[in-house]
Amino acid sequence: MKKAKLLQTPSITFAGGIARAVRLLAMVIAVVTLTLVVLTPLGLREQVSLSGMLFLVALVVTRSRHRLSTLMLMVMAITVSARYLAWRISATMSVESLDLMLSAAMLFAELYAFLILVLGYFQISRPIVRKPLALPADLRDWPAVDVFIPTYNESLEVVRATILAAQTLDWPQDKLHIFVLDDGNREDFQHFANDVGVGYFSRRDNRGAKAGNINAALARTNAPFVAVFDCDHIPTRSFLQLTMGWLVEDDRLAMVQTPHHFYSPDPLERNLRIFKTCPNEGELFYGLIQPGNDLWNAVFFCGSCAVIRRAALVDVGGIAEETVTEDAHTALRMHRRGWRTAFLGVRQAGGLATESLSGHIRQRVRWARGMVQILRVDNPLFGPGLTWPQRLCYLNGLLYFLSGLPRLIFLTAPLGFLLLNAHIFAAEPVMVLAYALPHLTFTLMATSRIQGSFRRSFWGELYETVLSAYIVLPTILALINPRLGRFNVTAKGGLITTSYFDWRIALPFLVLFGLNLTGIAAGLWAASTGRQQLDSVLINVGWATYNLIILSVAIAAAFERQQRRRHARIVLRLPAMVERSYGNTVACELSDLSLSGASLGHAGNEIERGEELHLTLRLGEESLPMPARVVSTKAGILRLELATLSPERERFLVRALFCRADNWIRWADERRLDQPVRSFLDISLCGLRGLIQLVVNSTTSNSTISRRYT
Amino acid sequence: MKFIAFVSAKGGTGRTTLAANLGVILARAGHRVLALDCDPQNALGTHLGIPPGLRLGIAEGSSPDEIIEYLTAQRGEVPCIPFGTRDRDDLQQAESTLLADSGWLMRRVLDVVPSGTELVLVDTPAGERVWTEHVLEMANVIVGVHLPDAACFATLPVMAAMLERQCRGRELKPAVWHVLNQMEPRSKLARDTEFLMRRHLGERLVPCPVPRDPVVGEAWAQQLPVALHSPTTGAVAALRELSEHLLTPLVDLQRHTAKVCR
Repeated sequence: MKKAKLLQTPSITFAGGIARAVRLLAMVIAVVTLTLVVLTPLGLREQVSLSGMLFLVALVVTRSRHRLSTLMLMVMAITVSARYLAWRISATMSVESLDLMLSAAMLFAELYAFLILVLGYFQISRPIVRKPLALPADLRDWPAVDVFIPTYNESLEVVRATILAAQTLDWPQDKLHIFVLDDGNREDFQHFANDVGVGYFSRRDNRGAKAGNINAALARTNAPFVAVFDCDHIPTRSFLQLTMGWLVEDDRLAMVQTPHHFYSPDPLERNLRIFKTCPNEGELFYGLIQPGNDLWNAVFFCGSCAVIRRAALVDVGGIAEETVTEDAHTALRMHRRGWRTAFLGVRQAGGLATESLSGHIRQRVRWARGMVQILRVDNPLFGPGLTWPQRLCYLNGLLYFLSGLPRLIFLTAPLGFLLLNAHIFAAEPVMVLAYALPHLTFTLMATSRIQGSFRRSFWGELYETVLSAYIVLPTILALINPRLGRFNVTAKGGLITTSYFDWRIALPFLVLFGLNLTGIAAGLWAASTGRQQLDSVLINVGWATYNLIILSVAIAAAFERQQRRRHARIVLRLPAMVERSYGNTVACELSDLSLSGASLGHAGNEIERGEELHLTLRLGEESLPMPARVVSTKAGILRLELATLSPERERFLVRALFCRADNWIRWADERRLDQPVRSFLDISLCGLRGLIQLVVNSTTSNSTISRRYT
Repeated sequence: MKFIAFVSAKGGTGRTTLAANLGVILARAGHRVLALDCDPQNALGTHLGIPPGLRLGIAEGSSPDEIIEYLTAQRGEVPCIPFGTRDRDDLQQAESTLLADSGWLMRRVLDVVPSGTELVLVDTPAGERVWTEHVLEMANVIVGVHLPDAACFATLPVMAAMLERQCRGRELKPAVWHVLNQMEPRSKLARDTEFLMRRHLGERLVPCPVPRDPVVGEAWAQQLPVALHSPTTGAVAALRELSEHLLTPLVDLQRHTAKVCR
């Protein structure tokens, strides 16, 4: 019944049996036809005309924005790709040993990519746009909630805003209990918690890392619901009111997850200068994959910005401690025990992104290792309690992190021919094109259509490329022995005082780049001397060039750009007022604000640098003046540095900055849909800029680099 | 034509200054505004370029023709009908006229207000006085002006009772707003008073308090409306916002607040 409410599908009541029979028949016919289409071998001309025809159909289909046409594109892409793979296995496998080895490796990568594609399409075949559900009218029916803010080694500077924001959550005060779970056992945290009036827990040992930390707190608290926020995820005031409705309504619902939103640029966004203009890595997951999971009741817990039912946690023995991705593992266990989970795609918390590329990679390596651990110790394909769609959604989530090896194979495959003279495809080059091009085109078309505004074409390959070299080993090790390795904490809120190129992190990209470049040179030389067929060379050179583009963007991402501000500035257009020392007021418009400063536009020009004044912000009907000093008055923009604030003022500022319910709602509103060609140009330009930077950097600033190494 | 009356339970809340400066801002926003002083203190004119000591005024003693003639001769942005300088006996006489004839003020005003006037901003004496009562009877919008201090907070019940009595039995209820004037955000007492007043008055207390700013006084001393004297001040910005708020029809306002609220 609830699903029907969500999907708004008219229920079919008449002649249910006949309808089912017709549907089954249609399915059988479709499967038989598609199998025939996939398996029939065709000559060059027939293959080209079939692909051309399908392409024309796809062009017509893609004009409609209807969901059905998206599904059609998916089916077409899967069919064409399967056809390619069938041909690839039956007609292109070589018998020579070196060729066969490389060809098999390539085939492995291709099969992996196909599996992920099919699973992915299945997973997001019908994303659910879940709306918040109203809470009971009577406040007495609202349940009590414990808010947990686990922390280990993050500075109080980062955590205090989260604590203050949690206190302003719109929820009956006697039913809201906030706890700082400090695994770092730090005195300043305890003092701060006492000063502002929230609970403080610490432990003697840190067994079980974050999971153990939460489990220990569970044993010391008792509210029927637990909201978890990573210590740098600052909730908006409406978080509980929006998420709790579903949990109150449905008592088998174990958890509601909301998106992780980052208001500061992640290293890729900052170093490539694509912050806010291009969707980041997480947007696909929270914009599409989690809503897709919601249809199959397979929403994962993501460790933060979620509310969990205590009864469900108790039922599965608390947060899972066996793997380093305790969150997904816990959700898996809940699903095994028949609990439901839900995803509410409304950004209700804002967090800090990791500050350096190496940190970003480290964090994802942990995710990858944890997900592979789950694959080993609690494989979703087996074991009790899961529906098949749930098994497949989990499988896709876990397999995704094995992309390292396949990605490396794609990045080096053309070298087999260009450098080693091995034939990965034992076929005529023109046949390879006739089968591979439709496969690539259809995949690109369908994927671009599905991902819409949540991911740009080719950027996914970049994200995988950046990780590939780094997750290969940890994931393979985790496959062999899931008990290796420890939980590492992602550092946030740091500064990068000078811009520099992180040679160490870029090394694999540089090596791969050099190899592909050498391959292209060798191939062209071989073609010019007539030792190789030109068409084979061109195909492989084209492929290697594509690799060069993606790798150059990965290299560009390793140019760490300066990040000197202590607190991220948030664009905030609000009327504000400045009060000067002798009582005169100046009307201003706030343009951005952070926990330590503000920029304002103002018409009056008599304010001077260094002047002490008060900035009065109004939040709804409240206003509070903050003492500040003028740092600069250039170009009609007043830049203020805020003085050290009293807890009352700091809380007010946190509310103004982070807690408004609509804070992050419009963040990605002006995003356009993906256009593959434009996206290709964008990514190429990004790569080109990276290369230029690399040349300039290696010729001019050796001093900075050597300093980084010491 | 809409009558906007400015009232306060105690003196010195800046009622007159607020009325005059709002008048200028409304006139500059394109409204045809008239200022009318029904306060025997006769101070509204001093903000709008009327020389002190002028006998001509709304109070009994000047003929409608004289007043109309005087209005047409005025060059300021906001034409003003002063109360008129009166001695003690005149005032007593005028009050007894009002007491005897409840329609007198209304007739008198309609006789002299030029056609085409959109808004008439009316200043009243502080506290419960005969003049105030008669002005409130005509008013479409009533603006209570308060200071963020304990004394004003203490007089809130008096004010509430007065307004309640006025609105009782009237077919078309006036819109009642309350404004916090000379707000000092840095003072804890002022902030706490605002908080308490908001609890009492709810959304009748307009969300934008007018901050205390020395330029308001300086502008008066220079015989300039503050919107001209220092247009970029926080006080003027607040007055501008207030002027928009007062004119928002109630229905729109509710829709508006539902939309922007958090």
